[in-house]
Amino acid sequence: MSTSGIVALVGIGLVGVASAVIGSIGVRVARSTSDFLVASRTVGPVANASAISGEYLSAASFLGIAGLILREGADALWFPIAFTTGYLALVLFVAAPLRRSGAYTVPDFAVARLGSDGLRRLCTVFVLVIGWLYLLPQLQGAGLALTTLTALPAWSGIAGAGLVVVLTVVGGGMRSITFVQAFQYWLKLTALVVPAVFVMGLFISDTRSLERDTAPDFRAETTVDVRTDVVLQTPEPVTLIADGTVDGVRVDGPTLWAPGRHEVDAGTELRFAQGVPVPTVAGAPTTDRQWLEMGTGDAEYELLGIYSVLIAGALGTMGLPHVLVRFYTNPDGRAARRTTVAVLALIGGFYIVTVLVGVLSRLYTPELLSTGQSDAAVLLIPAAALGQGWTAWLLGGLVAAGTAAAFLSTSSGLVVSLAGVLFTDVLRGRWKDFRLAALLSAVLPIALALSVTRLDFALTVPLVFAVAASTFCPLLVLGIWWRGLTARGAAAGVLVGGVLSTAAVLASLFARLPAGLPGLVLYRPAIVTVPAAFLTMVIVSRFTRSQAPGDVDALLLRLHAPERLGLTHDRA
Amino acid sequence: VSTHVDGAPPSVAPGDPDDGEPPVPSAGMGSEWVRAEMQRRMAANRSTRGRHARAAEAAAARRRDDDPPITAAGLPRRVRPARPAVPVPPPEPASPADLPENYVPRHSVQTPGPAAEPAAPISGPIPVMRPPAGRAPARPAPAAPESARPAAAGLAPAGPASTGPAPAAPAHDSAPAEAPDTGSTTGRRAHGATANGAGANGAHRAPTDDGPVNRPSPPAGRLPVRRRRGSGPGTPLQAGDEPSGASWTRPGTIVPPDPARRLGAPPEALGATPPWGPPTASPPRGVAAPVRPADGPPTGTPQAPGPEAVTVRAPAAPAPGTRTDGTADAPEAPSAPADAEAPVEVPAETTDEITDEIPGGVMDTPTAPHPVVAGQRATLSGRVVGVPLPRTSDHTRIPARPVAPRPVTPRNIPVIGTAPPEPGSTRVRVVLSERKGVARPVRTIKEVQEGTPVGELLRRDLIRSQMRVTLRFAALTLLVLGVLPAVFAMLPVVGHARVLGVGVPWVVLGILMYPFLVGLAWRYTRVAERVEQNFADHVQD
Repeated sequence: MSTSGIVALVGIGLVGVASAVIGSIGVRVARSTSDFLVASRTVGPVANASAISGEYLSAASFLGIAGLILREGADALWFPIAFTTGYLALVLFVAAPLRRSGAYTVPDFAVARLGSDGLRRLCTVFVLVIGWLYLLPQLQGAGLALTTLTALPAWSGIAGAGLVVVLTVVGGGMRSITFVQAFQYWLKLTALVVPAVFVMGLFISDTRSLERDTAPDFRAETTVDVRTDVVLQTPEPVTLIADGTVDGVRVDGPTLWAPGRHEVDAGTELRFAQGVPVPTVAGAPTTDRQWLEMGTGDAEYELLGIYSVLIAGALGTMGLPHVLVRFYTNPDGRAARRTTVAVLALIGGFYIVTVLVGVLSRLYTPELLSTGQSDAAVLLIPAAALGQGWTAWLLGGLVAAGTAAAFLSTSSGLVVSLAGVLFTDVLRGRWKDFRLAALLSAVLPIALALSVTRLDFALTVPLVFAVAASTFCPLLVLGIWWRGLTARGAAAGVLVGGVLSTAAVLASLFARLPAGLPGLVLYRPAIVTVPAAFLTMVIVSRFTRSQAPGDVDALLLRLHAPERLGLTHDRA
Repeated sequence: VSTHVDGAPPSVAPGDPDDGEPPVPSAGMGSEWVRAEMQRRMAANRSTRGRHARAAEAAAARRRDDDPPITAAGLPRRVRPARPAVPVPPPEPASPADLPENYVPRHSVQTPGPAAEPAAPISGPIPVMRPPAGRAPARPAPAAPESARPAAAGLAPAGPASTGPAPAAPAHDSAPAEAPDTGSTTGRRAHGATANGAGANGAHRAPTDDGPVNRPSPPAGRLPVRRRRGSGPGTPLQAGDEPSGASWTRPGTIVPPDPARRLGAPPEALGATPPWGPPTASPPRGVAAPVRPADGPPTGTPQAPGPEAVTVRAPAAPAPGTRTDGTADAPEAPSAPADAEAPVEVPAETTDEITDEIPGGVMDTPTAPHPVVAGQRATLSGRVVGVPLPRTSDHTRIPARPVAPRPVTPRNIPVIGTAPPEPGSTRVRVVLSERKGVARPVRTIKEVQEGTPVGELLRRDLIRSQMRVTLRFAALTLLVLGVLPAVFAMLPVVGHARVLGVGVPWVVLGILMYPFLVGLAWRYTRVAERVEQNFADHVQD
């Protein structure tokens, strides 16, 4: 193992140790079930906002955004905006009323608002679906990080991350997690800002520019292992040594690729010499100038895709179980709103840095464009920009630590919230069962992550958001603002949106997507499934109008009236 | 001293609240006025409820009475009891008409007096106790049930005093009504009379209909009701106190117009009005009223109650309190023999408070006892009217039932009539501090929660205004995020533009968008919080 790999492992280990220490400090304070579940509502707004941000900024944000920028350029700018807008939607539609509802999870809210146990069970199912789907890329991302930084196999990263997460959750409950995650947010930000500053200094003195009409060059001889079927494209002729199947032809030796597209089958090995133009994955801009501008990729229905991502991101955030649960740790609705605004600022600042790193990675790690491992850009940029040396190694270790923090925080947050749902809705036991629930909620996604091929964050994360946006967003928004919502209408809407979006997710993950509009709808389903869920909910509620809960007025009043009137009742 | 404090605060506090309320409407939308009216109506209903609770027996009769007074729901109720008594005073009713006119001036006069005397009134009663002699003279005249007129006459001279007596005498009708009015008026005028908001409301109502005018007064009744509720709860006392404070202000504002109007228009009102006067004290009286002797007492009671209430509040210990009150009052009383007026006014308010208190813990006992006491009081009241303090004291003493405490706090005795001593002690806490905070919220919140028209209106308005805010911000966000992708896609020129060497898309989407989103969210929280604040203020006021 190289020195850089050892340094990275040490960094990851330090994060684990620090998390355990902070968590154990919290444990001493955690005495009751309530402590575990909602941190006794004593978490301060700054700590809470940091924790929410730390929990929310997953590997998809820490690694995925930069990788997406590296590949897609200006068009990828919409992704972080979509994720950030999710918190604006949260503060606009949900934050304060949800906190006042006293609901700790979406199933809780469903029961509080509509009093239907059937709907509660349905929501529990989708909480688990969303949580597990979201855990999948997190764990696989841990595997990617470990593989990239060290020579260890990917499974070890997945298993290790899973183990640490379970231990953290079982050991401390949510209270410790709150402070662990607040710590991890700042660690993540540091791990991005410091390398960005170093590389930025290099970039300013660099004579190269992104304002050119050619593709980026390989900065060193590079070998690319193609693990899934892929279509590469190049704006210029490329000479390479291929070993495998290219364009349906068995190749073994030097090859000349003409400008255009080339299909490469899985298992092929491509070797490029230094200074050769980098072929990019089809659909992405090929030259640097195109990359700088918007709408220059040749992906179909790109505008529609952007809108779909915006919808999924903006409306899906409020449906993420690990985000919602955080709002119950606010002392009141007003604090919930303010916390959300703080989260917006924290996340926005983080994304600005992330975008900067993505831009720099275009210059220093262009080879990732061909490997399809563009998500590794953040991990590799210190070494790529600074060369081999202790500065680069230490920065690499810092980035590794930030990456570990990203995986751990989101994963443990997800596990806590999933365990909370299992604990309150399925197991209905005492707090000892909470540990069992935590274990249960982590085992399945770990097994899945070990057995499924890894996909880009850019693909999987928006898909998960689409499921959340198609199920819980309509339930929450209509439940909070529309007195006509009925349990049947809500159940129908959740079912329609959930089934449609889940089907699209499964098709995207496991099947080859058709071309054209149907493919886009499966790939970015939110633009169809979210309106479908809303419509279904409204229409069915209209038809079952007589079943609307009788105390809906009092309920809505409780959701919207300030706490000082004494209408809300917190549970123990 | 405490009594004084109490008395003084009420006046001030009331004024403030009233002022505050009116401003709100102005600041807010026109709908706020509607809400305010709704609330008043609601309060009236509530007050009726409270009364009902108190005197189930008289309920029917009272209701009848009340109904007429509908406008002054609260008052009517109180009046009702008085009316029973009124039968005795029937003669008075006739006179009341006359009296009302007289009263009007008196009221006006009184109001000023009250304003000036807010503290005095309180003390007034007490003083009465001590200075019975001084007051007695004045009051004695009024004292006689008939005294109502005499009182009126006397009142005319000493407006305030007259009001006090008037209640007693007119008994019933004119007097009571006046008394309450005065009380309210005093409060209003003193505090909020100036408060255009409240005054405006009252004025508006008055102009439109007597009923409306009366209604304004009902608010006072409402207030009491609230107090009652507050008292009802474990911490009733505090709640009651707060309410009382509220009631003061509210009644004050509302009442003023009513009294005048009532006076002017109320032969009928008389019936109702008397209730007002009695109302405060009358509740017990009302109970007693059935007995009828109560009628007399009511007037007396009111006065006594007023003092008592005040004294009681401040002085925790009834007996000591009475003395202390007396001392404190004495000064005041002396200052304003006219206090008679003050007393009257005070009594009205105090009576309100008392009623509240009664509903709360003493409720039961009061009802039963009141009748008896009322009877005594009635007689006394007649006297009292003339000579509030002495008589009241006597009454209290006579009632003996009240026990020693009563002697100490004769006033209390009248007020409590039934089982005052105890209430008195508790009352003390109530009055002083928590009134505004606790009691009000409870009332309004319940209103809103109970799905009453007012509550319905408030709730719908809250949710709608919140939704309006939310949709406004959501629409802005949607506009920006919806149009930008299309602009960049349709107008490549924009995407090609450079700002400081960096592409526009990178500047706009990579950097500027985040502060924009944060700013939107921040702005939204501010606006949403303001909406909630307005709602809460509304409900709690």
